[in-house]
Amino acid sequence: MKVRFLTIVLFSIFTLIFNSCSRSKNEVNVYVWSDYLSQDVIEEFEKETGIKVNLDTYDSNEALLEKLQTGVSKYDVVVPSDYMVQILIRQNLLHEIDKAKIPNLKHINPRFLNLQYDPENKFSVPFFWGTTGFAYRKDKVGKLPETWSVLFDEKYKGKILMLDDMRECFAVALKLLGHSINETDTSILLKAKEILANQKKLVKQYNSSGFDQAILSGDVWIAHGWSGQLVKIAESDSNIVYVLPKEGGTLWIDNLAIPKSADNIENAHIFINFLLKPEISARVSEFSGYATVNETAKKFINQKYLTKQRYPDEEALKNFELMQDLGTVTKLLDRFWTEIKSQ
Amino acid sequence: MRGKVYWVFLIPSAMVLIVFFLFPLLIMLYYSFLQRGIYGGFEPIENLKEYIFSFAWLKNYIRVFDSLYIPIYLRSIYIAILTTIICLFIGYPVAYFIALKVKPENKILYLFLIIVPLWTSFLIRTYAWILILRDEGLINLFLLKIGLINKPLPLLYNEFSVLLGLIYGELPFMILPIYASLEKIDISLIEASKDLGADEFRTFKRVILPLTLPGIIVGVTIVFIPTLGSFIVSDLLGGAKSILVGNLIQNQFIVARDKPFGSAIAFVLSSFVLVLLYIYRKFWGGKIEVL
Repeated sequence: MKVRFLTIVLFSIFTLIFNSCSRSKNEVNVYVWSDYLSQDVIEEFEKETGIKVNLDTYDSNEALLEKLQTGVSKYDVVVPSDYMVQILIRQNLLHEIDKAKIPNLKHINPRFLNLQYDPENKFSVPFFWGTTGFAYRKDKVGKLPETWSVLFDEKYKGKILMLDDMRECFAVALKLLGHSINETDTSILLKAKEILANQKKLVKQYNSSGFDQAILSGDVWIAHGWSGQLVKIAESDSNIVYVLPKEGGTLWIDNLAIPKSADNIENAHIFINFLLKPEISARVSEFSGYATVNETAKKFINQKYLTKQRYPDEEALKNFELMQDLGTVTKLLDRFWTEIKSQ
Repeated sequence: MRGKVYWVFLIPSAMVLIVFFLFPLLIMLYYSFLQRGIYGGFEPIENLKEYIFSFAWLKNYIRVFDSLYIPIYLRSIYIAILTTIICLFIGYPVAYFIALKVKPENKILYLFLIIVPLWTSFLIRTYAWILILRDEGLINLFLLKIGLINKPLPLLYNEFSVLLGLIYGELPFMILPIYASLEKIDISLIEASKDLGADEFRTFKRVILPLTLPGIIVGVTIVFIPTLGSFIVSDLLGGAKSILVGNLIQNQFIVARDKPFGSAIAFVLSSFVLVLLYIYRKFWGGKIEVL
């Protein structure tokens, strides 16, 4: 008798768990970068289409890859950066996009279409773009030249922050050496490693999530970082300057894509098309601090955000490159990075 | 009939152990014998027989003992030992004070003060330390204001701040088991010791300390093990400048996308801890049952 009772209890617990897993039909599960989409944009989409949005966030491309590789989580829209699109395509993790369902594609600046990581944009639609540079405090260090070498200057020992990001740090060293950020030659990578190893004693912290706060609070004077956050604080504090070094660096593009495992393919297309509406793209761009790839959207963006800092011209971007996946070389880089960190 | 039913009540806890402990551990063990694929994931094994006999499955374990990683292990063990010792030296007097010197009606208040920080996420408490220790943080601003220093002390992003963060986080786990064993001591034993002429120190050495040894052992164990595997503190308070074995494992899973190697290190680390626990049991086995 007791056994039967317990079986019933256990059974009902399991059914409860499984029931709560299956969701209602008319919805879209979105997995995006943190601080990317504002609540009012989501609400507007829900009101306009009657589709419910379930929002989840991540803070690194690798976290996204991890989730999609395990295949457990069912997301309908994700936002991988350039090199991650390449990896996801090669791993066969993305669903082909039906361009007929995304008429707003016409607003996108052709400069950002048909790039190497997805030659025909079969699997991804560009959304935002930006750069990796550095910011410094004018009030502490005066005016600095636009070169990465200031991050290696003994004068600023203990006042320098580097991104805690293997690829981005190597990109800086490789650019200083005059090479591509996607260099795979071992002897060159070894030289880059030595540069970074020597720099370590000057670095106060390696940090990829709070670099903007660290320079804003004056904890560091020079901070390596991504344009979105650094441009935002440079706009709010006139003592902070964001620099695109003349040697060049990383140019990155975030893309909307649909994972293969998506349940709501139709709704995913509707959501992507909605985000590409010029007035929506404009609002999302103002909110997040990133530059939009949507040409028409620029008409809707407040003039004060259309600065050279947010939208650098071709001349300033001359030496900037997209990051590519390095395949097995990642293993070598990881070894070098571990050596630098553990010395 | 009645006697046969009781095993049913073991099911929930057994399930929890199997599903959340044994099962993941087995998956990890399996992973650790594979090789990293180019894009993360795993390299498929083409010829299983050859794979087994060429000992390719041992590759990750051989790499674990590469000279590159040895200093990281030693550093992690050193930091874990240091944290444990300092926690013991701070934690014992605190536990002693609460158990034996505080009025019984106030004990609950003191215990409450020790437990209350645990209600907040460790991550948030670690961030709070950043605000306290940084150049423009509370301590430096205060010292500058009263004129004791003229430029900020480097309190953050070094070995000191990592150690401080670890000690801060683990201290309650040292205090509570020691408190529990102090609390159990029969006061009449202490009184007897004093009646027989032993002074305070002698009483402590000959009566209290041996009786609280089980609490100390438990405290040392549950402080040492998590400290050995921790990675958040060295990331946040150390400025991610030096790697502990916890960071090494985390990097393998997230940055290097080398799950097999990460699993292998994790396995070796767990085995190391198990060996330590085994040695513990051998020497002080009978005394651990108290908690």
